[in-house]
Amino acid sequence: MAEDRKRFNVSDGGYGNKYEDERGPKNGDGCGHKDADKRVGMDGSGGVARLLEENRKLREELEDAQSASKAKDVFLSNMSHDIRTPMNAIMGMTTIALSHIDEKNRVLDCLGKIQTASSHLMSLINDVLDMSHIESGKMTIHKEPFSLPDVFHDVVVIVRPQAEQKKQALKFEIEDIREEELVGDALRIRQVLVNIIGNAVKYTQEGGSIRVVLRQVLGGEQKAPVFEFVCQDNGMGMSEEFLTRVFLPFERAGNTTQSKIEGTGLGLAICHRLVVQMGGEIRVESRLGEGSCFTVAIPLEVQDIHENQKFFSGETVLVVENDAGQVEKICGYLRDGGLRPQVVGKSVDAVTFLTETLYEGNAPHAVLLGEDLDGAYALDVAACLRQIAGKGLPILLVSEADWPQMEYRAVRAGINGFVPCPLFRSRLISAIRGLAADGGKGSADCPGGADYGGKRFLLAEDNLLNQEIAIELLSDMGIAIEAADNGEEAVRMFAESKPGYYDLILMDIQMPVMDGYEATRRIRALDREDAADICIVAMTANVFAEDVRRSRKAGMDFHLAKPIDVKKIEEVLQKLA
Amino acid sequence: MQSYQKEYIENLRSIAERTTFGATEGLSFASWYQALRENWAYAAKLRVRSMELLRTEFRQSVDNLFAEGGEELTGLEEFAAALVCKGDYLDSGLYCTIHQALLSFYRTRKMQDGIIRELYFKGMGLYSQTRMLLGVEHPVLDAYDQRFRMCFAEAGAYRKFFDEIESEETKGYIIRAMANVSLGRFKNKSEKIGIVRHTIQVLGDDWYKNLAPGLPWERFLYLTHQQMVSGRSLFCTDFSPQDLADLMESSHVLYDEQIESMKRDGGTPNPRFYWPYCEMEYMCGLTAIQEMLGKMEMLIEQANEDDQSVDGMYAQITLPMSYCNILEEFANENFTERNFTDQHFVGRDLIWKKREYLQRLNERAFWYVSGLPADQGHAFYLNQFISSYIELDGCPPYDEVLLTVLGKCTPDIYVRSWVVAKVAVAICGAVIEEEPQIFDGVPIGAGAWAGGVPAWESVRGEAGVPAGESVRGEAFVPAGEDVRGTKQMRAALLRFVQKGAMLHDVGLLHFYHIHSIRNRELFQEEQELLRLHTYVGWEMLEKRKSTREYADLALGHHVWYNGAKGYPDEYRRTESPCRCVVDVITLASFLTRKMDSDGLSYRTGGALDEAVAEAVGEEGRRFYPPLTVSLQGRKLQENLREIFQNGVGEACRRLYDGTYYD
Repeated sequence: MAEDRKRFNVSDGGYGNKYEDERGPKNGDGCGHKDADKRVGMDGSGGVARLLEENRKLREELEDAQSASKAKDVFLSNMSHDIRTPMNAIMGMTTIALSHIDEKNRVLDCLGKIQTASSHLMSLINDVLDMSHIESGKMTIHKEPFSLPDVFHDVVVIVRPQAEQKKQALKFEIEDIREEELVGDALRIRQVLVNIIGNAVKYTQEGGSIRVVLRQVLGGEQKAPVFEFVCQDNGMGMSEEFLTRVFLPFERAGNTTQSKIEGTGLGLAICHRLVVQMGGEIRVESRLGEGSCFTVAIPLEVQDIHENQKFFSGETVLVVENDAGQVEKICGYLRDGGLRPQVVGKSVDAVTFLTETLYEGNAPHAVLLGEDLDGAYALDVAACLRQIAGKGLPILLVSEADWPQMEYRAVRAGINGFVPCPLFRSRLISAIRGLAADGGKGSADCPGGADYGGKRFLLAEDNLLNQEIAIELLSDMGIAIEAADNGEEAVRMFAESKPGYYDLILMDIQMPVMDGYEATRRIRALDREDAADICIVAMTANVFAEDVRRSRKAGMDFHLAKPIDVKKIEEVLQKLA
Repeated sequence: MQSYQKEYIENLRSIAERTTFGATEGLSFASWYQALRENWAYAAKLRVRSMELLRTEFRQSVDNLFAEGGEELTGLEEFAAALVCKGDYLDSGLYCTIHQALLSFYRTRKMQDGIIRELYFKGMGLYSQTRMLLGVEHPVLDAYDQRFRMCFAEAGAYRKFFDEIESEETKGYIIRAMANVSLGRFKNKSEKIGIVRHTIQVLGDDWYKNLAPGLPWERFLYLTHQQMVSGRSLFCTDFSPQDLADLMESSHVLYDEQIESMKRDGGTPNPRFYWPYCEMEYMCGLTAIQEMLGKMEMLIEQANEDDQSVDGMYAQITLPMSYCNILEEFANENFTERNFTDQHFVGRDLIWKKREYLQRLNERAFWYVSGLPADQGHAFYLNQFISSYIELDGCPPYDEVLLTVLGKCTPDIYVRSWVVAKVAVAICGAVIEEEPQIFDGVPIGAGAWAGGVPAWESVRGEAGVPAGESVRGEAFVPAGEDVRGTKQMRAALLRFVQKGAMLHDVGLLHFYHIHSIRNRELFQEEQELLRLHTYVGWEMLEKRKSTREYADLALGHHVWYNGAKGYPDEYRRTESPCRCVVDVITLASFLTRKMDSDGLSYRTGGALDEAVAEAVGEEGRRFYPPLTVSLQGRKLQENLREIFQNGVGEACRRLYDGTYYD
């Protein structure tokens, strides 16, 4: 059917041209097409049968054209809920920010979420274009390094508010993820996840429950690991009949339209095509009236990062958590990181343990407070433990709570680290490492809290306004910026500097005198010790696969889209750390 | 102690004495009322002075403590000790504050003995603040319990290094702290038993005794056995056979001697030790249910109805209420027979057979409470009474019970509720004239008629009902019906408002130990605890049939109209059919609080204008707009002035006469 619909794509020239081609020239001067002669039987052979067949085909094509036209009318009249999901997040966060305008942290948090949702919205506006691209075979999957925890966190931020609005229990579980730094199209993966979970929220009643599980299924030296994402709900479900066409474009179940649930019928079709293009598979099980279970399995390469996963050497971490499942997960992650967990389920036991170990002179390296503390408030427990231990002991909160909302009270209570749930190994270990390095003083592991004082970047950018924006954003992070107006100047400034003077080069692509590609090749060719290793990040307005390929070929390490995104820069810096 | 500390203690006692409502015998109402007002006015002045002492000299003491220690330290320790009198805390909030300051001091100095001692005292102070909250279940209280438990746990943790502690006194605190981790609420009662069991084992270990021979080990053991027995629960399914054995063992230790003595002398057994013993025998399967109930009936029947001592209150309140609750629990279909081995258990049949006896118990307990003097020393048992009271057909309805206990135990709350009720009725009466439709759907059911709610002359006049004529109402005000056009319904609505306002603060009965703090402003933690009175009040009213329709009024009267502020979160205005009445009581309560002068009298002059202006300024945010519009009417304001002038006297007259309800 897709191929049939494709025939009516205007960009292909459409039905009319094709029909004209088959019929022959418009002016009717003879039968320019030899087959036409045969079909009309002018040559006297097989005429009637062929005519009937031709008429049958024409009737089919007419019906298909009418059906597609109607489907497009339906699509236009039903606004996409996919667009409204992040729009709601944007509007909601804006309202909250306005009503808390004097609370800087709160406003910052709202702006961050608006940023996430708006960038997702921008990508979703391309849904229709995507579908068109997909159908025409022009959709490309970009493969670049990304952090799975970051992508998942973005997804949670977008979908959670809608679930909360419908008082649904939305639970995220992470099962046995061994690799978190992957290579793939983060944007499309996020799009698929938001769409699937968004559908679950949309098609589940108020007070319903949705469970989202992320797990790593395969892996090993020979095969790329497969990451499986399962979304299970107890919503309205789908009939067996509809399941046969659930991934077709413009298809919506009758009961959803009757219950006035918004939708375009494109979301799952796009998801299906994207997942297939990524080499994965998507399957669904559903029972009408009982709920659905979507499983998306995508193979993703692991980044070539050779890291010593065990950052510690058997230091003890006190884990205060009563939920057995969460305890198991935390303990596993801690052991993987070289730490030794000591678990207690109650606040009184935590107090006893800490008092005894302090007296004995072997206090734990850190304390992790979970969400289930057997009735006690985490902040009360933190305050008590802080009083016992003094300032030096890192106390981290592992929670689904909205950190910016509670940060002020939590810090006053003595918590100096936050690890958001759903819990990923890298975030937990990174948080403990960060606080351990600070001696327990550091700020919580939340966006915008990092300080890169002492770093120096070389910025090659010909547009003065873009230069100014980049300098302002990066200066707030403590980074010193030196700007070059074109590629040639960038090469000269680098060549004239001492080795190690610059920590990173931000390279625009399109520049006068010398473009970014050529400038990078020349820098890499310089005879100095940091020429081969210095990190060069391409900055460009468009991120096409071809551009990424050219950048890497020229010797660039990362590829970021303009306008400059502080978070992306931070990710790069963390990878370099 | 320093002079300001002595003055504070003195003020504290004086305020407590002056703000009781006192005996009325031998005094005319006028004399009694006059003295009452003078005492309260004087107490208000003492409170101002006490606050000044706290803000200046006490704060200075705490600052000096960290800088100098020494004299300040001794002074504060004596100050805290003086705040406890025979086991009762005169000011538990301040007690906890002082000990927190001392604890911080000892921590900075790393003085172990001081740390352990202060942890113990602070834990005891925190525990005392929730001890009165009998029968109240709420996550906030669970978290609060954890706070004092953590104090005890930290002190008790030093048991591991018992032999390294030099001070014998400190060792004593460690042992008691270890046992006190078992205080407070436990979701899993077996957990509590386990903690106490461990303590008993330690107390029986000679190693500890040899290291601190001077400690009162027998006394410690006796207290710990008491803690064990206090953990018993007839309907608990968490107990293991070992738990039951430990409970029985402890009750033997505590009560064997008294029971043997009773058997020898043939006297009446004291219910305070005999009943727990009987209960334990049943829990351990040594007696059948019929036998246990029979012993209970015997204890109840033998008790002296005129005995107003603690023993008397136990026999007249605790026992009968426990009896009724046991039978109600048996009638609960969710409670299956698998929990009992008693073959004679017959569930609902038992209730049916005992119904007349239950009615008699209820009535007897009610009349006993009614006869108690107005003395806050009974608060514990009166709280138990209202928590456990089961509303049976033919028994005094729960609203009468509540109003009686309010008048007995918390007469100031009764007086205030009376004034709020009058203000609420006045506002409601004015709004009905202009916008009667806002009360559409308010359920003014049979409760508005039960027991003959006082029909004030003004209400009857407004309702257009001639004196002497009885009024009956419909089940509810149908949507769209013009209440104004239906005098009976209008009267019914006003009665609903009046009774609801009288009951809206009943939750405070459980928090009277905080509400009755008149010597100072409340600390933040006390404020947080006090806020629970709305949820607790809702639970109390919702559980009983005669008061169910007023439950929302207790829950929502501190929530803003627009939902932006206030408490508790459980109240959602749009979901309550009584929301407009809740709004009326919210406004009435606000005005009453603004007009309050010294807790018993109200301000005059321009104070009402200020209060009205403030209310109008919050129109649409805190208060429902039609109400604030009507508030600006001259007639209503005149009415309100009269209420604030005379309302307290009317309420006090009822207290004087002992007629808490009609």
